[in-house]
Amino acid sequence: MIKIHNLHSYYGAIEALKGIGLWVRSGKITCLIGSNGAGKTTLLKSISGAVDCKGSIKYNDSTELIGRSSQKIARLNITHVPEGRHIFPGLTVKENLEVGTINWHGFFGRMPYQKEMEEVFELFPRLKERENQLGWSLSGGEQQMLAIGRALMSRPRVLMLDEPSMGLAPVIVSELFEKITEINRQGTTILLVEQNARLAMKVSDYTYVIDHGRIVLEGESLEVRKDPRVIKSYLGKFAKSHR
Amino acid sequence: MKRKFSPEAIVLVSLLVLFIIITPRVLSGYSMNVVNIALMFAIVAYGISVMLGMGGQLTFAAVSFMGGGAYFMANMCTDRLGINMPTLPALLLTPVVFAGIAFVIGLLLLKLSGTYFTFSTIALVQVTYAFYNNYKPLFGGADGISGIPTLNLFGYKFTSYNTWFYVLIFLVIIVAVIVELIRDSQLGRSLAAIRDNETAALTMGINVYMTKVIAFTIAGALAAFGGALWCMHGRFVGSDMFNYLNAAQFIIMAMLGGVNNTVGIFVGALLVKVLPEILRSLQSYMQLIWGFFIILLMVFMPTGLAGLYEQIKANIKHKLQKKREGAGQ
Amino acid sequence: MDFRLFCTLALNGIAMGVVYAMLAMGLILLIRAVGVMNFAQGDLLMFGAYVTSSLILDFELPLYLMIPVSFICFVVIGLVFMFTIYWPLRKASYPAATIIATMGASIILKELATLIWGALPRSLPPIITDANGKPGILYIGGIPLQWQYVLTIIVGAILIFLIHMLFEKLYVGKMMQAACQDSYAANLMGVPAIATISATYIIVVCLASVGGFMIAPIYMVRNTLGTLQLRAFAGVVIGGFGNIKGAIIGSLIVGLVEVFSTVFLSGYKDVTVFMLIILFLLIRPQGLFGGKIADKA
Repeated sequence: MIKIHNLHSYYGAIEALKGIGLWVRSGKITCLIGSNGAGKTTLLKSISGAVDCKGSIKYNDSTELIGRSSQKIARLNITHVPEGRHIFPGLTVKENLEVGTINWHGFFGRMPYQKEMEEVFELFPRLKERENQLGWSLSGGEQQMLAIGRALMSRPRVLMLDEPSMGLAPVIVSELFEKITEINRQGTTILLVEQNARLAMKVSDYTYVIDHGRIVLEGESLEVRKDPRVIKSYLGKFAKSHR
Repeated sequence: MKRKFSPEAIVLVSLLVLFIIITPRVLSGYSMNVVNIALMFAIVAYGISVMLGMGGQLTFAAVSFMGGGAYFMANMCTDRLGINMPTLPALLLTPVVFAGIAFVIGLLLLKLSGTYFTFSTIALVQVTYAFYNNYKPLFGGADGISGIPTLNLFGYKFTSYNTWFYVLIFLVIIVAVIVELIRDSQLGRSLAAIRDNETAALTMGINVYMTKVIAFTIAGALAAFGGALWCMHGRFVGSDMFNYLNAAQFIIMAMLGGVNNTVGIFVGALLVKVLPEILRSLQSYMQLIWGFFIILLMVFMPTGLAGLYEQIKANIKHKLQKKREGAGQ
Repeated sequence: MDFRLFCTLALNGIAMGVVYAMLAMGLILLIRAVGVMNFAQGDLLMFGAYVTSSLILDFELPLYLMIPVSFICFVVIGLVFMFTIYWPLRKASYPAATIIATMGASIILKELATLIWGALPRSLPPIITDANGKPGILYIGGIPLQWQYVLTIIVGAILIFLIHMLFEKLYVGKMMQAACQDSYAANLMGVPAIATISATYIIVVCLASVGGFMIAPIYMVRNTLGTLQLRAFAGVVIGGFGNIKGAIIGSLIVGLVEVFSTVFLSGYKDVTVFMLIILFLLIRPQGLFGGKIADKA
């Protein structure tokens, strides 16, 4: 669905990504793991148009994403849920979800988005309970659910999640990842960027490992999980085999 | 310590010496007056830099205290209230008295933080201005108070602007040194911590509230001192100077040279007062250009001229280093 | 005081309060958009007063033409203002920098007005006048109420209501709020942030300028009108930072306090208003209705 060739991304003069090649396969969950500062968020930002880059990011083998504005990319139904949730604190849960539809909704008029909203509430019943509460008053886990729910309102074909587990309690995280699996099962392609390598590889079909701006390992998640280098660097004490 | 003997410092000191020697010889009368006022404003601006540059707190209160100092001198040294204090003791008394007043007001206003605090200083300026402008018995109302005696130093009367220059430059240097000392002291470092992240400063055990109050006190005392000098220099005090608009001008003055840079404040004060005079021919467009200039300043040089200077220095160093590396290869 | 005086003063106070409320609403919209106070808000009112009065006095446009033409002017002013002050400074590391840039804008607006229209105050006749050209008076129950004040209240209230509806009820309004609350996220979702923030600025300019136009016949058009923003600041503080309903009520209170204290304390009316601010800041800094969202300031 999204094929990345030789991607170089820059923050000013600093080259953060040095020739990345990656394939987000249609209908599957692809995950990107790596330590802090390796370039995971930069990669997502490159796809969603928030960072300067060179190279090629092809969507559906035809559309080149590099050079497009974030808004145009959002209109292609490629939705990026940023690190740290970034929900709108002064809007209610319902309003946050409404804003999610902007990429396909006109500015005026009332196009129906009831269906999407019901689906989101089914997936995240806790959001339904809080539908008229203001964003800032939600807990971290609820905000993450809201951020994902808002992304779902945009009718995404590709959903990109940046560290959804960050700052959340393990119980909430497992619940969240169950939902992520469910979303994928209903047909949405997912690109998942995660610090929690174990969980990421558990739910995903393909894994890419990034280090210092380069992909150092890739493959089916089941295989990558068993790779001793990965175990040593990213799985720590959760590893079954040791040394 | 290394700072004191670096090539930079030597150049700066030499420039300063040149400035002191040359200026009174080339200027006199009106132009000297302008330079003197710039120096007095610099003292007030130093006060602002302690609050804003070091502590990150935007305050408009300077003109309130400046007025306070000026009217205090006016009342102490003339016959208005029957007190006829000689000027020197009154001058030295002013910062002390107003440090006390600033302390009390600071205790009150600094219970607020951020923009709330800034607002309260605006409110303070409005209140003091209303009194300065209306309460005749103490402040002479809109007409102000005139006939204030000039500085009398053990019998030597400073009657010409040129002689005033020497006093003022001397005082400015002392204030600048004091401000530098504060910057490197515990107080200065605490203020820097507060400026960068108030919550973090709290957790480090800094008494944020009292530190700000002390900074406010210093700023108030300096402003009052500047005001006292100003009224003696001009032999007159009127309420016009102490309004909200001038408060804004002082802040801009401080930001221009670099609000956190001692030399910058001096340069900024001079520029703000002197430049308009030099560009008199453009008078009607002067203010307009000034406004654009302020915006450009904030966009491109929020650290002021001093910041620009530092950037250029860093750029040059960087380039020199690259050359060395290239040559070493 | 007798009842007639009371009513006159009350009308005056509410009218001024409505104008302050329009300024205050604009202030809060900008705080949400940019995160800092706009110290040129009053000057926008002043400039708007000059523009509208000029269209009437110099170009002799009838009211129904003046309104669309001045709207176009407001759009231009709003865009220019946004692109010179907000856009370059949106990632400013020094928050005071944006505030000071608005102070620069304040100076520019004042000087521009003086250059274009001269330094002398201009008088603008009230919208409704009687046969002799004097301000029209509405009589209710025998009490004379100046039409200009009444119109100010009506026009101001309608404008405030409409814009409130825009932001709270319409889909577009929510997009604009989102863009102001988190422009990064809004951009990612496809909200055209530049467009919405520009729209916000244009709305703010309209609010301030209409206010300026309404009080021009009362205060005369002069370049010191900008100081009215200090009353709007007071309204924002009393009502609770960031809260629009609160700012409106706070501004009304300020208008009334100001007018009534003129009776007793003429030169010191500023003192009452600002002592009120200090009082509120100390005793109830969150204002009458303040909430948590406020703290972006």
